[in-house]
Amino acid sequence: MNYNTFSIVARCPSTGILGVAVSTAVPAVGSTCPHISPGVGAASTQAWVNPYLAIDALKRLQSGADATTALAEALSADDARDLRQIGLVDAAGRAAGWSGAACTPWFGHLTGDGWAIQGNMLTGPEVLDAMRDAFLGAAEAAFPERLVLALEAGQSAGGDKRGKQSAAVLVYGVEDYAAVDLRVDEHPYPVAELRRVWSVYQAQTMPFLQGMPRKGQPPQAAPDDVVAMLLRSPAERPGAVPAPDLWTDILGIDVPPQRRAELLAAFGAISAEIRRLRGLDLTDIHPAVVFRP
Amino acid sequence: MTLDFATITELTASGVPAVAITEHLLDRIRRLDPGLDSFICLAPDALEQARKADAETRAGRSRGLLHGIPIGIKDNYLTADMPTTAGTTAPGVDFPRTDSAVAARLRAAGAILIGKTRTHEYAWGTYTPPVRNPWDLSRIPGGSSGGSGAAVAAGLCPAAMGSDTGGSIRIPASFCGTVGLKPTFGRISRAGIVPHSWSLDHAGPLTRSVADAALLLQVLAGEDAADPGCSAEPVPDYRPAVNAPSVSGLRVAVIRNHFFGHNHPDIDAAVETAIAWFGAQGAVIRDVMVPNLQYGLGAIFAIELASSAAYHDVALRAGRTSQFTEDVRLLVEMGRLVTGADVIKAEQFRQVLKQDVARVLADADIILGPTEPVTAPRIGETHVAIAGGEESALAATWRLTYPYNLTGLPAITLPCGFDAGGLPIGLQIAAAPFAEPILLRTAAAYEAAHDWKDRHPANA
Repeated sequence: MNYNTFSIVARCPSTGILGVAVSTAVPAVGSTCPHISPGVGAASTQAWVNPYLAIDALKRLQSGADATTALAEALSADDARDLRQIGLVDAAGRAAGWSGAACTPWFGHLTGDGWAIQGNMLTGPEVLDAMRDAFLGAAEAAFPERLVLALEAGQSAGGDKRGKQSAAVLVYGVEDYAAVDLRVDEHPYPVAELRRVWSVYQAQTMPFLQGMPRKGQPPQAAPDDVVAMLLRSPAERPGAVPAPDLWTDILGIDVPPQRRAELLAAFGAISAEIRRLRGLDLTDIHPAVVFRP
Repeated sequence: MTLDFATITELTASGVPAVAITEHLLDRIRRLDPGLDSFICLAPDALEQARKADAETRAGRSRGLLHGIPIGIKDNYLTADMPTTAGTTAPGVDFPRTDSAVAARLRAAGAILIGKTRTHEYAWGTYTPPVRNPWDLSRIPGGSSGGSGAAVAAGLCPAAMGSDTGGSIRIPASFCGTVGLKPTFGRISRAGIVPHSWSLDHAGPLTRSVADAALLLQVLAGEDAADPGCSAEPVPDYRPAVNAPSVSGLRVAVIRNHFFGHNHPDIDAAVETAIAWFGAQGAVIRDVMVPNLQYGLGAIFAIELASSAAYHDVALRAGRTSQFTEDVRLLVEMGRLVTGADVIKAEQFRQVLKQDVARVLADADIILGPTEPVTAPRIGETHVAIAGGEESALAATWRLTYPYNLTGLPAITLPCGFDAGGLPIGLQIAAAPFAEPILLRTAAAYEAAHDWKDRHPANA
């Protein structure tokens, strides 16, 4: 699978948290590209994707190699390295990147202290520059928020030149389970949807995470207010973002998915005629509608 | 005189009693309509109405211009003495038993409403199942006033009412070889007609002659507070126009884009011959272009679909549209996909198109062209062959009629020949708003110089 993708791999300098945020015009990017070993390192493997490249590089970090060495060693074992793209950050914040010469243009990567930003089949280098500026410019924000901001900036600057379909953010702290693992697997506006899900997650799930069992600590009950919140319906909880359904709420027609497909198919040719009408500038024309009280 | 295909004018002049006329037509309906299915119901008291009319005649009284004349009325007009279905069999529909404004005016003028003619469901679409075309029973009569077209062409009644939102009077009139008049928007009250699209709906007659169209317009035109779209424009006497037909000195515009270039060759040939006839009679012919017509289809779709979805909103939300005929259900439900901004923009565009045709009509008395790019398609045909390509039957059959719904101009269709297969071809004439006298005078002149209206279908 060719994941023509833009992503950021980073380590929080103050907490050591590791994270990856990624988006592409292929479904379910979150299940394949991001890889994190808590306390060891994080990677995003993409282009003609080889998951073992990330797994191998993280193992080499675990064995004590730094990011640059681990990446070089992992790549040397991959005969198709010209087709791969990968960004890697180790637990000390050292970053390394690789973009094979046979990746789809525009491709490239940037690295800095604690971060690696990479992408291919992009509209241009401005995508990576925008991601870097957004990430570095939000140093005061929570670490997952910085990753989402970088992704949004990359999308705004052009992103994947085919369009967009999925997005994900994966963050590990010191625990062996993820602190944030959000995926938008198939959506017309995946980065915007990821932002919406992230905001709901912060308000409704993160308070619950605070009470989850931690390594080396006795389990404790979740606070009463968190339990009470989770007993309410999603729409009644804090941070609920109204997301009206396009069909039932906005268009006002409640029909099953098969019927929606039939309506869209039939409406296709009509919609094309209406779009032609939209091309007219009628700003100064009073419509043929007069209200007489 | 044979009563079979007599016009209203001829019937009135003949002195044949209303009972004899009504019995004759009811007999024809009994014999012929099982093959055509043009009527959905007949007035149970038609003969009783005729007897009353004859009694009044014997007493020296006439109710009006249509005294004792049987007229068919489309099943989307409310009638007090007959049920209205608007062509739907969906449950939960119960239209009131009151007379529409047109039904009331027809009765006041002495007409006998002989029966309700079939419409496609809620006056949608350009065919009218199960009605068949009397010229060829394997073909559609057009729609949505298909029952009226078939009944008038087959000699089952001398005239019938239709309604026209995108062409639903003129399409069946053209396919069935009758006269069809869509007057200026607002000329005839639509109060008591089941709405389809408020800013596009027109009422009008299908008749066997231009003079009869004028007669019905005389009876039906005029202000009605019950229809907010109805006009207060004074109603002239339309009869002098048809009694003195003339085209000498007439300025004729032919819109060469949109209306030409995509028609069946037999239609182009018949219409060009008609245009040449006008020229030979001393009319001045001028070819013009109205490029903005390319936006018309998007505009009428936006307005018509959205209006229909609004009218059927309660049924839609209650899930009752699933009981509609599949094609009509699809059209009604698709109306929900049209955005409000596009509907308003479509209404803005109508002003632009109105100004465009007003410029054409500043230098012309009428606009001449075909009514249909094809003759009647076969039943079940979803696509028609035109100019070496295939086009959806719906798209083709209203292409030349909807511009006059968008602009609200009066437009009439009358026969101007037959194709190689013997199916009628319609000539469409449009004029400035409320210029029905010019429209009727011109159409009557063409009609008088040709014998198309004297040809009658095989299945009649």
